[in-house]
Amino acid sequence: MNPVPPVQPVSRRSWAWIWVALGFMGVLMLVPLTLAVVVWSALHTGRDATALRLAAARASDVRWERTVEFSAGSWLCSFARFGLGFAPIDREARLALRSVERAEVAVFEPRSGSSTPINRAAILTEADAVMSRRGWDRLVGVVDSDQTVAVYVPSRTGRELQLDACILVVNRENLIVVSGRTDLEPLLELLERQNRPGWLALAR
Amino acid sequence: MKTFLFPLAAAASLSLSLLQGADSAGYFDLGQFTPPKSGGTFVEVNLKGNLLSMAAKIAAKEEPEAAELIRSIESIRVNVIGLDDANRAEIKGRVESVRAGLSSAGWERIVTVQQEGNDVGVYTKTKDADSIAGVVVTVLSQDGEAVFVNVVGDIKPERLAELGEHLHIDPLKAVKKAAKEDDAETKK
Repeated sequence: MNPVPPVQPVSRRSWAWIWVALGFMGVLMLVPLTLAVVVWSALHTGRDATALRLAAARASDVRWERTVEFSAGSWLCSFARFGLGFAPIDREARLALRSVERAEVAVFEPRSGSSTPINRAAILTEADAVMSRRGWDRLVGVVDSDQTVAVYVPSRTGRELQLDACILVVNRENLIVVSGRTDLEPLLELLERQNRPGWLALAR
Repeated sequence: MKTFLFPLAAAASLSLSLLQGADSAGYFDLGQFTPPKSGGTFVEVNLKGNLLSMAAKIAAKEEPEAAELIRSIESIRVNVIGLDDANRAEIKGRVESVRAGLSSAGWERIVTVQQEGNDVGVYTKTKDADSIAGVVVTVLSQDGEAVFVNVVGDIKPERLAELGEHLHIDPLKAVKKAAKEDDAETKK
């Protein structure tokens, strides 16, 4: 019977190479994973907007299907603003774009063949309950024969002149949720440039 | 321990909310409204401190007077409810109960209009000799709508009409007219 050869211990240098190889493989895996996450998040709205959409869809008694859904998070908006810094666009347009810090849009339409009348009153009640649990207050609610509109703002605001809002519009054709964060400072500058008097101009 | 802490925390939060309510003498609980089932009009606006202070900041540069007016307001609530056969009696009852509640809570009715099917009441809660802590407007209009408004703040009486103009609350504009009529009658 031949003697079993002794196992050679892995040298420190070999360990270093193993770690380098593992690190390289990790980076290789991380890049597509990160890209997948970025693409997925760009094609889906955030948690609050999704919760609002699901609440409205549930209460409406109608089955909805996605037409458009995208999200430009704060990173994407920052990149866009940085890129636009080099683009030859008007100062006004630049100011308007600078005011957008985050934007999410979801547009859904009733599934074909769905003829159930939309329960408008229930939409507002359900949406209020869900958004209230998530720390949002309803600023405006409008229900009429054609559509339901609700605007939510966080119960606690962050920085001054920074406005977060989540807007819901439901009518016969669409269920729309728009959510975003706006920096009002560039908008004010824009109003001043156009010689329009402050917030009342916005209201008009 | 937890069983002891929970009621204590609940009691503390309840007393805190009661204290907050007591702070705003001009606040009146109008209650919750639900949209008419027939699909009639329903509008609800709830503007609170943080948004109002933001609006005041925005207005300050160009319209300092408007900014000052906004700064004097703590909250604005507006409800417009379309009346149909299902909710007409209930909403009319709500208007009556709000008016009764206001009268019993020491609010002063400063405008009453009952003509051409419209029934308007404007109530104020006085803070001191120079300012009003709150305004409540109730309207039952001939167009089949009920309107409830509660403005809370530290409002100069002479600026009520201006507030009505800025916020498009027509009955508040009538305050100026009523005051002028009162002045004319006093002079006579």
